[in-house]
Amino acid sequence: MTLGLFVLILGGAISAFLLWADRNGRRVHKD
Amino acid sequence: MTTLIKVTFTSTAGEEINGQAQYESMSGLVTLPSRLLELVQRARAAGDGHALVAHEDGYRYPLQPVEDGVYQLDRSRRHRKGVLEQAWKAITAPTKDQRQQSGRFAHTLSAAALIGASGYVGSSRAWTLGAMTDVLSLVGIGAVLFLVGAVLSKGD
Repeated sequence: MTLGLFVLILGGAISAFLLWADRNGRRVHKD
Repeated sequence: MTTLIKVTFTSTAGEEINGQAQYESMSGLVTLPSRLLELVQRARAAGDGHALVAHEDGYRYPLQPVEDGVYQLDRSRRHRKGVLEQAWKAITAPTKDQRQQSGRFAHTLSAAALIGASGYVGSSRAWTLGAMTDVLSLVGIGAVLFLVGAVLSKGD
């Protein structure tokens, strides 16, 4: 249970951040 | 000794043009080629603001006009992005290549989650609710990270 929660929170945070950085990078670099 | 140095011309009209210029390393004088000089004169005639910057070893040097077509490389005002600034930009506003590398990182984490789930299934003796949640979380995050990696690796 603890491992599951840890993986969900960490994986979810990494996924959300990477998607945000991807959008921001595309906006800034226009490529 | 005369060498060539990369020079960037930017103007408030939105132009950004790169070129090579002759550079006297002893005196620090940069002689612009006629192509770049024409751009400077055209910007002046149109009343547009403009700037000339020389690039050397990753540093940016502003060029100060000495006479027509000849500029002084101002070594005291050299500028380069610091490591921390570059790292911050790589994280918050990555370039195309950096986004692809982030995509690979996401795919690596996805593989790690799926391998972890397989190991968990193989080694778990009792299938309690907690064990089921752990495995489902690992598989689910593995799938999500795979999709995130695919989006980041889009390549355009």
